[in-house]
Amino acid sequence: MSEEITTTEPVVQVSNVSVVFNIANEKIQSLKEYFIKAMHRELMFREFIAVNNVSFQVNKGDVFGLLGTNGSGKSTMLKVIAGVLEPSKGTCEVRGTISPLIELGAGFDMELTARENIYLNGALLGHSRKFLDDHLDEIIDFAELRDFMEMPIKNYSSGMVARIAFAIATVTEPDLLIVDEVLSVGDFLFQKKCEERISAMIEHGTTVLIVSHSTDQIRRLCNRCMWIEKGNLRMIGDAEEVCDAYSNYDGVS
Amino acid sequence: MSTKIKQGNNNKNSMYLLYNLVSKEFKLKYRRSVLGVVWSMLNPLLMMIVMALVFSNIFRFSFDMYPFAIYLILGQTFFAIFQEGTVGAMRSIIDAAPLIQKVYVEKIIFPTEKILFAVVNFCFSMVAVVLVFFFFGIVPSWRILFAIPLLILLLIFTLGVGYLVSALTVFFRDIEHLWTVLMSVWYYMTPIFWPYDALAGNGLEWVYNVVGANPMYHFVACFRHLATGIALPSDASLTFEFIFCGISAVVALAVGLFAFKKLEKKFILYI
Repeated sequence: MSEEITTTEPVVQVSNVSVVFNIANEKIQSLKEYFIKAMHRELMFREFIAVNNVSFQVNKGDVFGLLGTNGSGKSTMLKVIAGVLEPSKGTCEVRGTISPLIELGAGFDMELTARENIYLNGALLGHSRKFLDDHLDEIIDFAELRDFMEMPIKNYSSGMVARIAFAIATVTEPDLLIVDEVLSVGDFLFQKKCEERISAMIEHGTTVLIVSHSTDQIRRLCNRCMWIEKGNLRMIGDAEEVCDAYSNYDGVS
Repeated sequence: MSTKIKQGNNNKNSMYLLYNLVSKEFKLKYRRSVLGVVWSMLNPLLMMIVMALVFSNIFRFSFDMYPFAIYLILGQTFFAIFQEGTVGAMRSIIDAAPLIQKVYVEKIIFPTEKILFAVVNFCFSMVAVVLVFFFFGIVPSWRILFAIPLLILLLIFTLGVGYLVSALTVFFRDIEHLWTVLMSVWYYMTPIFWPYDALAGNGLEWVYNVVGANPMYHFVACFRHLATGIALPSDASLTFEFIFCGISAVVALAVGLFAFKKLEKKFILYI
């Protein structure tokens, strides 16, 4: 499981990261109960280790896949990389700009129109007004929703929301693009379009981190891949090899 | 034990983001209402009329110095910044949960936005205040220009309290319920519809002292003085009042900012 040493500069450097959550062991119903338990020192929290001492690096230009069954810590890992969650142990360093495509449209307000949301979400991603003015047409064209710009997002279908969100998030070419199972929304034509845009970004040197359940997608897009299982790093390396191993995984060991 | 992100783009446009959030709040508040932004002026005006009727006719409050309505609306609108600001800030982090969980943003933006929104609302309500002045034929004092630095001090004070409340609410949701009650206590402990000096000789010495230590009393009294030129109660000087307000503001901001920065890393585990 040792990493091959490369000369290129890593974009993401994860060193010995562990994430531990405290889960209350039992539901305490009343304040009285709380105090009694506290007195007897029975107030236990179960520690849940979501990510256990994981280290890896993603180099510039890599398309890095993250595989794992449900609840194995993939999204937690992504949150650490996106800077949203602080690791309990270890460090995570990211060099450059990040565009997170984690759950598209997180910053959308359902009551606002698409146009207003483009500006709001753009600002959340750190763009300036001038930049958004200049790129508004580009975003609308990519999403192919010009006729629906003045409609509140709440009247949109989830696929339409995903289109807008993807268009905003990819309007710049970030140093690191994080894609979390978002490509599964939208129709096949749009999925193809998204993959094309990601491919274009990769050609221009963007590093991509993809989380997916689909080994097909990982095989098609990624060159390297990591498999985490129950918070532990199982395998890291060439995408084909890891995907093969993952496909043969029976869920026991 | 940290994620270091060397980002170029994510923080320098905080101001633009703040602007966007405030304008969103405004759009949503008045979307589909016929009068729209006029409500920001109409609301304090209607509130003042109701209260003025109640207190001058039923309770027979009277002021020698100037119309009760003016006394009331100046206190109301200025206190509203603090009240709306902190109440709005309180839930701001919890409400922004979907965002905070997914994108790296400066979390302090959310309470700040709510408080700035309260200030913007105050600026609109000033139109109502001008109307009331006009109605009574009173010309504002030139000193009203000093209300601008006072407003900034109140903004700082409110930000400090707002940061503290918003951070604590993440961990103890009880604060949400407690704060509304505390806010109404605070409202009554601030001379908004009653004159401060009325407390002096009533055997309510302790209330008099508590109110005297209440920063909001000083803010409100100072604002009234600047707007109308009518003497400050309890023969304090304007300089003293400004210093008191300034110190309260700085202390509140220091405490609020410290608590917020200390706690913000744990927000994600509790929202």
